[in-house]
Amino acid sequence: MKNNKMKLRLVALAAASLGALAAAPAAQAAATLVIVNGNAAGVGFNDPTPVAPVGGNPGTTLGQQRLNAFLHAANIWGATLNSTVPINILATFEPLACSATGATLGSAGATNIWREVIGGKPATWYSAALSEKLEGADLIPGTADIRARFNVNLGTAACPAAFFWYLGLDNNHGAGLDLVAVLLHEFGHGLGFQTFTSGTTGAQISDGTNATGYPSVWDHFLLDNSNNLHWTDMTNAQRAASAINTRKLVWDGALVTAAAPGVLAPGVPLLKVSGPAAGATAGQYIVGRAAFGAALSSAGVSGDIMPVTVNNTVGDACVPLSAAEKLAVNGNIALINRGVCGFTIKVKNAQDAGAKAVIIADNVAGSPPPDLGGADPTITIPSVRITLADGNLIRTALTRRSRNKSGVVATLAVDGSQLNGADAFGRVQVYTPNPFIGGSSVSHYDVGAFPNLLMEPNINADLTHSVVTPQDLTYKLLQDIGW
Amino acid sequence: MKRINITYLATAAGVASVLAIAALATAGKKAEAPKPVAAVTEPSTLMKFANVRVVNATPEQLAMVANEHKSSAGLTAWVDPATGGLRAATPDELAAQAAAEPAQTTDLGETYAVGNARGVALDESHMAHAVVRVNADGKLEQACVEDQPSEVAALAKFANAPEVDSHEK
Repeated sequence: MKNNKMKLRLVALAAASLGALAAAPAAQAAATLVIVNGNAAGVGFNDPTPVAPVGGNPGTTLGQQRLNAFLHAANIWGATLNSTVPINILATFEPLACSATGATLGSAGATNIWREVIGGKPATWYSAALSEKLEGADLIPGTADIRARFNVNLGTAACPAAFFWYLGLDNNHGAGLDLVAVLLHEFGHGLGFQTFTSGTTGAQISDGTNATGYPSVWDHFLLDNSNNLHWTDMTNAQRAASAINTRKLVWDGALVTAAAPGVLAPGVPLLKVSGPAAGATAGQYIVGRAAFGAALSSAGVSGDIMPVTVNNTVGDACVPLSAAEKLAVNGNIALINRGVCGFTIKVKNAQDAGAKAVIIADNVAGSPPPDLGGADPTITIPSVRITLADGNLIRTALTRRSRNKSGVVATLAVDGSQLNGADAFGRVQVYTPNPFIGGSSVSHYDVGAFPNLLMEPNINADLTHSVVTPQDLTYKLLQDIGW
Repeated sequence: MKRINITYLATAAGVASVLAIAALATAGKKAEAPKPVAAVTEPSTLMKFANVRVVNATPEQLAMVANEHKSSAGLTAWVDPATGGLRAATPDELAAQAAAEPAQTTDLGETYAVGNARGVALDESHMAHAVVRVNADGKLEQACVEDQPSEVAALAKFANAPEVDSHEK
């Protein structure tokens, strides 16, 4: 630690503007958010460039429109949260990174965290805004609770032309990047939708007063359902392992779990492997669904798994199947490698050879398996995608197959009793891809959630601007941690 | 390609300053007169909402923003020699810049005490970074990245990650 000695920071920013913020919020307000315009004159929020009103944003300068979008997003949170203490967000539009193929849209987060907060769990870190709500007081007057920076270069020559902000408030963003949706997501993190514990190492944040640090309030609700341990009861190594235990780490907060059936749709696709030759491969596997072909049903489709082989290795099925391959897959479920050609070509070739369904095994490591994209209206059989590791495992059971039977039976079906994005007990899954994707893990809902949720790692174009049920589960999680 | 380093202190002065410095760095170009300084957006000209308001930062807060990145490697502006204007970095340039930045800090710096509550300040490495990229199919993919020392590192990590949403093969 830089400062071993605890000290009370003297804040010299008690200016009149922020001094006024300590006043009680408006009578009808559930909470008041204060946007502190941190830009210098003439730039960012103060850019005087004339613009036409867009999508319900009446601003006539670029600066006004940016601020209006911030105010709109902050007001959605303000109308939802409940706190007597204003939440201060120090915000700027400033130059952030752009490359030829990517750009930083913005960054946001809590400026400080607190433990031993009145009304909070002991020895547990809380974000600044939530700490102040629980304490009922501004802990460091004049200091922002959340810092937010967004990229002023989008729409300029410093960034690719494809990247430009949509500053309307109506979610009609077309090809533009919807600033309001990004703000709602990033403000969510700043309000407390994140663990401060490292997913990479499992280490908890320490202020130097103990050897192990302290958990975040999040960690009390992160349950690994493969060992039934919360993150607060794990070692660093166990937490790091749990962070890549795909779809096994769930949120067991009561409010999120109770609300999930009203938000998430039932019907999780799955692959069950059984049969006399299945051996150790018998069990249930995570799959990605196909955007084409027949949808999976609850009754499902079953058959022997037969690989499409070329020179005794699993083939890619990018050309019409040979006579031997046809004999293998006809009336069975074809196992095909990803790669070389599009998914629809592979599945169509298998269908033409008489396969009743297709399993595509990934050719790169990673879990969960993404969906299968593409379109071909002539495809009428179902197909799914599994991970490279699962594909390799299943292949080990196929080595003693005959020319048209393997004794390893696959059933592709939908489990209608399970919610998309939740485990069998209805607990919403947290994003735990393997390998760990820095930052896109643990502090988000899993990408398997359907309909899409605001706090998934991918900011999806079909999001609404809602943070509450029945559209979304963000506020329920914040309530679970104390909001 | 010409490359110039500009500190985030300059960043705080805004895009106009960056553009001005970039123009000055372009050989043979005559420096343009600075734009007249515009006023700060007046909060009364903005939309009115029940649960939010806007205030302009105090001079002290503006200075604090300017100082945020004094210790960082600084913003790099990339200049197209043909036009003298700013251009986007290449992925390699971005990765090199990210690699040159200090690793994620465990030095949490300032600590606070208010009553029984104990607090620590967080730095940029604990922020969430919204990033976007163009995938091979031409579609934009947005993501939120954390656990990175800076927004540049977050973008570099995302830009180099496999395209899990490119489903065609």
